[in-house]
Amino acid sequence: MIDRKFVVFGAAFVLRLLLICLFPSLPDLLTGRVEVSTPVNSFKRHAKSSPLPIAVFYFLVDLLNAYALLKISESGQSIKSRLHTAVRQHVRWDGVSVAAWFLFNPFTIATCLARSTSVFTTSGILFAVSNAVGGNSINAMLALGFASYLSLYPALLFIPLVLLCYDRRAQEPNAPKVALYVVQHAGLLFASIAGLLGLSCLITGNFWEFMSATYGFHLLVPDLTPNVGLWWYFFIEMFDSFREFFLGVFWLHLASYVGGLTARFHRQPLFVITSLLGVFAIFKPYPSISDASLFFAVLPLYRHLFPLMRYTFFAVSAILYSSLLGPAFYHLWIYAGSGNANFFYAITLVWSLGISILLADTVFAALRDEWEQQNPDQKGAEVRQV
Amino acid sequence: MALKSAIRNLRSNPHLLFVRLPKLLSLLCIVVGVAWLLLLPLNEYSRRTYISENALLPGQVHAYFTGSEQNIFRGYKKELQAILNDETKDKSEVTAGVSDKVQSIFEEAGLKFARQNYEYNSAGNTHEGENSYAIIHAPRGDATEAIVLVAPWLTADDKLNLNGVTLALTLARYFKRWSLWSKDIIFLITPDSKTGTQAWIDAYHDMHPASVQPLPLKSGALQGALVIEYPLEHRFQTLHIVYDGVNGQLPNLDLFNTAVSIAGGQMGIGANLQEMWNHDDSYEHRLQTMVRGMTKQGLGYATGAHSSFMPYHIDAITLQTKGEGWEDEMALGRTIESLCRSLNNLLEHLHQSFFFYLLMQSNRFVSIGTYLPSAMLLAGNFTIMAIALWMRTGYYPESKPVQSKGEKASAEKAKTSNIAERKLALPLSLVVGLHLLGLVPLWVFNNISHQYFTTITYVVLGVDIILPLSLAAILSNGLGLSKPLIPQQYHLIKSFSLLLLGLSLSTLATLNFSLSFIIGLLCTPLSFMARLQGPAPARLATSGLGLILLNLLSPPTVLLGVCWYTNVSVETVLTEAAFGWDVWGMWTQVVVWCVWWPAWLIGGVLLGSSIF
Repeated sequence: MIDRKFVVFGAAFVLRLLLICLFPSLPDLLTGRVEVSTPVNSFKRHAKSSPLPIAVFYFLVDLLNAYALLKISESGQSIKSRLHTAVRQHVRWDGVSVAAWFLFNPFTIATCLARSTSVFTTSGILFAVSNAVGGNSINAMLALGFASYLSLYPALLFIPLVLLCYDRRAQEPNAPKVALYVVQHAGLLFASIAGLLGLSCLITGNFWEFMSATYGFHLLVPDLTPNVGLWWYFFIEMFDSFREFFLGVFWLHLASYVGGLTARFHRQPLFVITSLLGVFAIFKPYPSISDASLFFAVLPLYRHLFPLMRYTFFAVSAILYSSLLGPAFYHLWIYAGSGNANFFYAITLVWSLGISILLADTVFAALRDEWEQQNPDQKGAEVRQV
Repeated sequence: MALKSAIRNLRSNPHLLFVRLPKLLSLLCIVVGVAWLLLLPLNEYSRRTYISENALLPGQVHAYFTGSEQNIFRGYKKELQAILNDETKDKSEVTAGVSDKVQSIFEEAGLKFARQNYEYNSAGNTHEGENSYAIIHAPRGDATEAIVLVAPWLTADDKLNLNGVTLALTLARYFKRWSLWSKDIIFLITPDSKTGTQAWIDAYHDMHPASVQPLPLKSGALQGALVIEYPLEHRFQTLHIVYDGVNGQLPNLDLFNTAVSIAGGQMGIGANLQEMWNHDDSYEHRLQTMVRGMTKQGLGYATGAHSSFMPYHIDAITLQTKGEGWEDEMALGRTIESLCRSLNNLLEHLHQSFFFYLLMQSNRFVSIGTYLPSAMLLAGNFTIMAIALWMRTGYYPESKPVQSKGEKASAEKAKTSNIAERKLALPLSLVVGLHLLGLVPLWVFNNISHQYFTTITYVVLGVDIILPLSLAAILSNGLGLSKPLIPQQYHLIKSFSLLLLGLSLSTLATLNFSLSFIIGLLCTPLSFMARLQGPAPARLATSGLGLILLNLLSPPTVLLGVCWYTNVSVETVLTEAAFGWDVWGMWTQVVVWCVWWPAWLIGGVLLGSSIF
């Protein structure tokens, strides 16, 4: 009997290899799509080199990500954390299914074939979480430091991640105080980011120029090339005098979810991370389908919440509709010249709506799960999928 | 009050709400969608055409192409005829001789000249040829914009276009002497109407495949293109304007309007469209024109040399001379001169008027806002059914367990630990799998040699009979491969299939309205396909009859039927389709094999399952 794990990972690798061998133009086509490539993750903006070894390297990174996901799933943290145990524990998928769900997701495959640098950020985040649930908090912080160094926004995951680490640590004897634990790990995170920045500084020479070209680019959003997010259209339309104010508002809005979600779901830090990944996929400045694919990748960890979700069909329909209509309207706008920017923007709104419904539904299901756990007598009063 | 009671009635009667109502709504969508289309030719729903772009000023200038130019035309024609009719030379020598002659005429007139060789392979046929083209650099321009005049040696109907080519040469010499051009004018002589312009326009934008040579000489951004076809050896009666592009893309309506306005208003030549020679502006003729336009748009093939320009957002039309009348080559030349003057006036790319329209007379059209709802309603009927089926599987279980009151408490308990979830895995894999299966015929029909096309069509016809039945047998009996399906799973299969169909068709409606409408119409029975229940003899008879009728609407049967009706061989149609895929970038097959065919197969599986 061959191990299912090897079958899934092998099949995922072969599928990607087949795709680039059968359709050699596919990677370049995907690299050019605005839904996949944003100014901050585009392969074209980085380097051009020999295609096959690079492509295989990206495949391997994808497999590593799936492996991290498998580890997270096998730890069972999503079902049973220190302070919370899900009501429907038996409704779950094993690690291999979760990894397969990630590896065979068309959005993941598209991101991987497009050689988007988002896959490295994804790696950083997934490894941070897998190390955290595995009890290796130092590695978790280093991985998060790597992800934050690459894309800045993963730093927002620090609080839930450190809580996740602490949950794990608190189950062992001699647990330190929370405050001290958080400060220590914050120090570790800063040290890792500072170390990486120091290295980049050594390579590039000019520290401030490097900073403004990288983090300044994330923070100040100077490039308004269309993408699937909500920022570009808004900032194109805005009068320049309001730009700084709304930049602040948009970032504050994005960051504010961290506090709220952490406070409400402090007993399930892994769920906070999951829902934050959904929030990022909608509200970050340069989102692409790779952010959505990361959110879709961690969702199956909460398979036990699916029976409590109510609008999956409509959310999935909205996402499917926008994934078909988006490229069509972009074509009408850019190539056929018979449409305009509003066509595409309308569809990105539908896309964000789809993910929002899914996210809100997941949060509802998690709340309901907590409520049922606290009120066992009310359990399953009326549980149906719409 | 009546509404309130109706809603209350619905809530208390789930069978009505989840089974009957969606069917009624779907049917209503289909009926309204079709009726909507039939209403369009009426005066109340269509509009008269008008010129939106004021800069065009059609027919406001005097056309001077007359008199002595006719002698030049005759002279060029004689010279070309002499080479073409030379019996002593073989075909390649004649082609080379003609090409050299064209070059010498262009160069004598003072134009820059260049050539381009190309070769395409499709379905085992090789298409090769040589384009010749020459450029007038605008005396008042900066070579950033250009207009293209195309004269193919063979027209779209494969007739020798000697007069058209000669007219292009004469116009080149004539235009060169004018100082008023603010855009470059490119004269393109292609060997035929299918491949030449495609090779040229691809190379112009550096998008050409390896078998096509790059262009040694270029100008600015192309603003518009006119194709001249005059294959007749006598005077003509009317101009036939062909405007359909590849994949149903259309040129800006302003270009068509300008051509009609100049031909009809300034020159007094009638303009026809869609081969409607005796259009009396009646409802029937308007509808017929519209349906012909929709068929061409839906099939998405190149209807002339102009079609290849459309994907690059260059508006283009073909002017064909038709009938026997009083108009000569000079009248055609003046029309083209006036059209070029109008295009020369443009300050920016044509953008004012419509890109999505259905024409029903040379001066009457409907725009996208008016006609789109009909295709959207057809696509919507599938979505309504899909949503209804999804709701039905959740809210209205097919077989409710009968419980006595005593058991209720224990049942309540069982409910909490045992959640009623839908069984999604098998329906999802079946629907996705069958859609992926569509890639097989897509690949086969675009990669095999043309002599096998007829055979393969019959093979697919056979597959269409066997595959749904065998899948139905496996699904409903298991046959040791799987557990027999429960009713919920049949509903889910149908729901997913119709959801995909609905969303593909509504997306398609924004790109190619006609194709979406035609496929939607052919798929309408699929909304009502279901696993039949009831006593065996009646069920078997109904489902058997249903399967036969469904097979009459399968993609290969429709293809064979249409070929039989129009008296064209299947091989010709499929060779053209493969050529379209390889050369023009035509997407019609993808829709047929990856949208229509899988949805049809699933309809067949559902109906077939009632036999087993």
